[in-house]
Amino acid sequence: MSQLEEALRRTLAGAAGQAPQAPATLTGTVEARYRRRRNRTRAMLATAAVVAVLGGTAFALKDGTPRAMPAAPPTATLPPAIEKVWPQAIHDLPATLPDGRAFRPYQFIDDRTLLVTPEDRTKLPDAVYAYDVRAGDARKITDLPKETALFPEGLVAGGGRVMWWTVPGNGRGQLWSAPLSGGPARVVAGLPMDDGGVDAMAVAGDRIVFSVQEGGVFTVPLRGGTVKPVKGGADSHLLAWPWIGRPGMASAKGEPMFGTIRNVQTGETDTAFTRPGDESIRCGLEVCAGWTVRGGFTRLRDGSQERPDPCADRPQTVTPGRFCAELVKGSGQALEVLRDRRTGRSAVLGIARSSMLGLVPNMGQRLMHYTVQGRMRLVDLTKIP
Amino acid sequence: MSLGGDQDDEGLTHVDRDPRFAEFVAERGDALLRYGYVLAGNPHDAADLVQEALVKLRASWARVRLKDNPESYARTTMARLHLRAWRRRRREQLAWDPPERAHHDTLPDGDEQRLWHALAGLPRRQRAVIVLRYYEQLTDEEIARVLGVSRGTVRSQAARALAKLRDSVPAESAVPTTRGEAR
Repeated sequence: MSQLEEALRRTLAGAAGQAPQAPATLTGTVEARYRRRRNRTRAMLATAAVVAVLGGTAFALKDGTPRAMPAAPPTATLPPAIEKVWPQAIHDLPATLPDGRAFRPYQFIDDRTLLVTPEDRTKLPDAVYAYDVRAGDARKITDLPKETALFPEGLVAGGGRVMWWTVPGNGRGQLWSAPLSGGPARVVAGLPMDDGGVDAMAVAGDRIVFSVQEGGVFTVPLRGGTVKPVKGGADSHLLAWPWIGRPGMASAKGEPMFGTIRNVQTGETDTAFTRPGDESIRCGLEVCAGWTVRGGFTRLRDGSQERPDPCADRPQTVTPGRFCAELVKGSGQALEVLRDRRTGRSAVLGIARSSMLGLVPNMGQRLMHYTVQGRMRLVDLTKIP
Repeated sequence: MSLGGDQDDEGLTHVDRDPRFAEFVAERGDALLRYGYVLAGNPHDAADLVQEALVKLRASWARVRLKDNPESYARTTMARLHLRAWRRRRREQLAWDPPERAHHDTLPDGDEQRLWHALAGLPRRQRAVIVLRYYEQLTDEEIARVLGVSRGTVRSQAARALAKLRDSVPAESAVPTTRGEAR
């Protein structure tokens, strides 16, 4: 740790000591506000129900009345192991590359080859590798150019190439690409970009499609060329090609994240169902999750199949989309459980809480990874029906 | 401590009135305020963050207490709230008025005062990354999960924040030229 980092620790710890003290009335204040908000939501829901009936529309409440979210006591029964529930989705591998280095997997290039970079907490990765998991052989695809690509991120393969992005600074971002067959990497696009960089990237035919954190969907030829904005995508984000939507992950005005999505090939649009009183709604292509004063919920974009969000109690794992993970206390040890919000199926991942952070399915992530019994386990979410 | 607040007019169940929530607030309220203070940089926003996070925790209390760590839940909620633009709207609802103090004057030496001032100049997200790294001592992977961004974003935000902070304090005051990639 550098001297500056040590100084930061001291400074923050010292400043924390200057924080005001909580007033003795804090609990009462919180309790009162919680009840006011809950009562207001109930009143709004009741009003909405009347409006729906008077208007004779199918709008709003699925069953016409405000209803309390079921209490959903924590289950004491663990679901079956993932090996039994979704055996087709898991791959167990040695925890290191053939040269002994730990690695970070990104995606399967084909049914036996993983896109990986070496993982070392003390230094940045030197290269991108294709790891043949059947043969146990890793082939270098390309070196990561250190002088400009300080923080290569978003590695994705498609169209015979691998690409990633970086924001070297000065308000400009870069997209890099190299042939999967091997060869030097080069910049295929540069454009103004804030520190948030690219929030999603995919390959569509012979073009890279990507969106930036501050909003805007663009394409650029796989081998480089002119960056073109996607029509109508100026304030949107890539969700899952060909779907784009708004607002993105940085939704700040209380609008549902990806509440409105559009298929840029067909023009089809979809607006997620919302109720008065909903908060922090985050949607994926199929499923939305959010909050009310009664707790977290999940439902399909059209409002159907609403149920308590099984993962709502762990905000660090509350991610949009179909899959989430939560800790379940069985008769013995508490274990991490992968939940499918769409089908309601669940499976024990085989690890305790401590090793969980870092594998929770994130936006657009299709491959989970964690270490179990000294081996790297991959869960390919695309293989879960 | 009493639950306080308005009278229960809805026949709340015993579980709904769990006194352990009050105990949690009494025991951990100060710690949450300390965290809120380094996150937000001023006592008003710190109080606001804590209050709002506790309301959310209260709404999910029964499940969070049984299945997870309430403090971790509150802290993650605070970090996420910090990144949102909700504070100004809710400022008027703040239920108590924390005293204004010249906090930087009480930090022990000049370098730390300068660093505290420099932290105030960081964009909100960069500040959050710095606080989660050096106050909460989370790994970059954990920070990425808490803030809902990629690990690369955490690294680049941290690098930029450290570069700015380095520029803000004198060369002789413990400022190296490179950052150890310790995480």
